[in-house]
Formats: sequence, C-alpha cells, structure tokens
Amino acid sequence: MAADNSNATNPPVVTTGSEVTFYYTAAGTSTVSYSVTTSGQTYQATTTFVVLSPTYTIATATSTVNVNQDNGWQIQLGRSLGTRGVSFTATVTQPTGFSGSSQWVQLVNSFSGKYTPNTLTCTTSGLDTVYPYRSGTSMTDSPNATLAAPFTQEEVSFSFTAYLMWQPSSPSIPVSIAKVNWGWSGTAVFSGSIWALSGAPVVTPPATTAQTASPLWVQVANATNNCH
Amino acid sequence: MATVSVPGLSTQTIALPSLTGDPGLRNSLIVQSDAAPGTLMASVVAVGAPGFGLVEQIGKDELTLTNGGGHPWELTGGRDAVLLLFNHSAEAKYFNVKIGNGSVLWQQPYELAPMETRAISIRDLIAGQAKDQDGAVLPQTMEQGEISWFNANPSEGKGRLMQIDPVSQSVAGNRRAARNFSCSYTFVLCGASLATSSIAFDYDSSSSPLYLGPVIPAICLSANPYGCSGQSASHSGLGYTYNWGGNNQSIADVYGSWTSSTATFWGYGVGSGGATAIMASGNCLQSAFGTATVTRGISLGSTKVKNKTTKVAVGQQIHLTATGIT
Repeated sequence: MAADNSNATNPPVVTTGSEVTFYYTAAGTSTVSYSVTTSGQTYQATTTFVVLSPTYTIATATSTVNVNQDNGWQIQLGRSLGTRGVSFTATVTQPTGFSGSSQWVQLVNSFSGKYTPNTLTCTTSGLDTVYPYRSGTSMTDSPNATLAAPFTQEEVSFSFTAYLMWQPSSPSIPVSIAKVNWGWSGTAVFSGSIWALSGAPVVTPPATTAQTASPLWVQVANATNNCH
Repeated sequence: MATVSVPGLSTQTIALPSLTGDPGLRNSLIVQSDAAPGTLMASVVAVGAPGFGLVEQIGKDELTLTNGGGHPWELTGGRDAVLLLFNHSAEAKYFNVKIGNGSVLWQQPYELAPMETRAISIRDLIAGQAKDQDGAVLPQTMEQGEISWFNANPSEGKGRLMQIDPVSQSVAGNRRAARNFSCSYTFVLCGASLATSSIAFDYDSSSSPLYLGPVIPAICLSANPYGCSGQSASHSGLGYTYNWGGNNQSIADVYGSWTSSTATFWGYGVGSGGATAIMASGNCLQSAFGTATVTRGISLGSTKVKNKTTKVAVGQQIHLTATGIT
C-alpha cells in the first residue's frame, strides 16, 4: 500500500501487507493506493481523503521584565503573584462533523544564564516542564531566574515556542495547528542589599504562525544541568 | 346491473337509461354471459353525447388470448384520436403504449388499477409535449401515425383507438361521430437483454448503487398466442415477471429483490461471476445474461472507501485494510 500523503506523520510510502495505519497532520487532499499481485494478475485500487483541520485565532498579551521577591529574589517576565508574563488564548473552530480537544505544548528553544562573578554560564533547551504544558485553549507563563548569592550579576535570555495542539476523537493523536514564538532577556545586579534591573530588558513579542509539524524534543529543559 | 336472456341465433337490443358518462370516455360496460366462449357477441352504441354524436363500441371478450392492438391514427381536419385502455383484471396492470411515425418513436407504460379505464388523447400528448419513458416527445407537427398497445400477458386488459371525425362521417344524420378501431394483436415475449450487463464492485459489499438490468424485453407479433417468436415489434414494456440468480454464488449473488427488472449483488469472492435474469410472460421464458465482477476493496474501519473521497480530520487514525485478499 502506498500513499502520496506528504502531509502524513507516518507516510506509508511503500508498505507491504494488507493493512496500514497512519495519521494526517495537515489539511489537504491525499490519495492512497494499493496493488496486489496474485496468480500473475495485478489489482490496483485507490481512495482519496480530504483532510480537514481546525481554524483558529490566538489572542496574546505580554507583561514586562522586572525584579521582584514573589518567590525570593528573581528576575522575571511578569509576576508570579500578579500579572502573568505572557498569556495566550486560542479560539479553535473545529471542522464540521468532527470534535476534539486542544492543548498547549511549549518548548524552550534556548536558555542561557551568565552568572558573575564566577563567570558561570548555563544553557538548556527542550520540553518546558511537562507534556502537555496546558490542557485547553489558554496558557500563561511567567519565566524567571532566581537571583541569589554568591552572584552579583545575572544575565538571562529565554526563547520559547508554544504549540497549539488539537486532537480529534479517539483513536487519534494530537497534531499541531499553530505556534507562538516569544522570549525575553534581561540583566539584574546586586547592589547593597537589593537586586535591580541593569539596562533595558528586551521582550520578543509573541508571533503566531500556522504550524503543522509536531514539536520535537529530546529532553526536559533544566537550567542547572548544563553549566560551565 | 341487469340480467337478460338472449335466445340462440338472435339479436337483442337493450335500451339503457339515460346515463351520465365521463366526458373523457372512461366509462365501461361489462357484459357477462354464462354461455360458452364465443357464443355471445355484444356491442354498445352511445348516441347524442355532447361532442360525440355517435359512439359505437364493439364488445371484446375478456378471455381472448390477444393481448394488444393497434391502428393508424390521424388528427388532420379537426379529427381527434383517443386511446382507451381498460384493465378488466383484479390487479393493477401495465399497458405498454407505442406511438410511431417513420423515425418517431414514443413509448410509455401506463399502470391501470383494477377496472380502471384510461383515455389517452394523442392530440393532448402532442400539444402538451408529454415526455415518454425515455424523455422523447412527439413532434408538434405530427398529425398521423400508428399507435399500438399491449399487456405483458393475455386476458389482462383491452384497448381501443377512438378516432373522432367531426365532419367527414355521417351516421344517422349526425355529423359528429366517433368510431372505434380495435385491431387485435398477439404480442409475445421473444427475447430479453440487459440494459446494463456488466458491473464491478468491491468484495464483501453490495454493488449498490450499481445494478444489472433493467431487463429489456424483445416483443414480437405472433400469430400463435402460445408461441415465443415472431416478427419483431418492440423492445420496451413493463408488466413481466423476473427471476434473478447468480451463476457463481461464491463470487456474487443477488442481494435484495430477485423479482425486479434490476438486481443488485453482494460480493462473496474476488473474481468474475455470471448472472442470469429470467423474464416471463404467458408461457414464454426468456433469459438475459450479465457479469458481476467482484474486485478487491479498501476499508477505513468498516467503511468501504475504494474509489471514494472521504473526509477525515488531522490527527485522526487512518487504518486502511485491503479487502478481498486471501
């Protein structure tokens, strides 16, 4: 059995046997064919799928970078005990005749932290916290870095991609329908007895694009695992 | 209802009371006799009806073996032509009507309820551009031709062509007379064929919406009412009985009605299986042969999707099974 389904996650380019299982991840039209040869005769058959995908809109909101003591000293986008750093609210319109559920999966594209005076640099990437990051159509995040002795200056940079996923009724898999790229960076210094921002932090505002490829990761991101 | 006694070798005229008939000539008078077949002949003459000065109807024996009739018709000079069909049986019956003139052919079956008389005006068919079973219409310039009718079996009905001539005929001083013509024929079933004689469909499924048939009768004019051959007369008609069967039931067999003019099949095995339709009329049985080919299919779950377009959602599991592979 063979399919011209370039939009399938498991493209059965050529599969022997009388059964095949796969999933489409993008809307479009796909034709699947099979041929069987028996007793010197070859039979062919085809079937066509019109693959439907939900439509969506995503409303985003972004807060500011600050230093606070919501959970000890920390530099943070938004607040742990106040306005969240980012909030994404999706409106998903399901294909006619189908129902399903939404979720968010977030990847840390990169994190770097430079810690002075020991000139310690930590980096990480991978899945943010847990899969899925949030169930439902809304998610918030207020990423932070702890500010603590013996360091007197911390320079941090975060880059994230949040994937809006949709999963039809079982049996099925969740598929990505959109992604939101966002991030921020900033520096805090310790002077006297307090931490404060140094310079102007930078916020990369959320940018939404359609996305059909699934999020891929090899590890859960951990900011303390790769320091040197 | 009245009973009279007619002595042998005599004629008796029975004056009927003033009757209010149907303007469309759809009334019938039934004369029944306890005499031996062919002993009593009857005719009815109606005089003075508005629009029809005189109408004469020669009686017809319901037990006669002729099952059809025909006659030329003409509409020139204000003439009119009306086909009168009468179902004297206890069941609904089809009357197959054919109107022709050279290259013109108009064919239409009419189903009449028991004891129903149907008047079919050729002028109205032309003026109304009535479509026949094949969508054909009679040309609006058509003024003469031949008309014929037949039942599938003997003793189901009777028909007459009422030719109405308002000027050229004069009977008993009345210048508006209607004359009936009733040439009787015997139409026999002399062959059968299938309009669709070959279908291909998936294993383990119904052929629907595909089907074999309908069975097309070959109708012949015959001098022998018990014969099954004769001069070719028509290839259209309803009212016959049918019986279908699969010749290789391990591949395909009838699925649904066995007694319709069409038959759907179920695919029991991959391959090509023959099918036979037997068409019956009177004592004539005619066969038509077709082919039901069962092919391998594709199933999405329990749904057959071969050569079809199916809507699915992203993320939905697509589990396809090729069917008919052993």
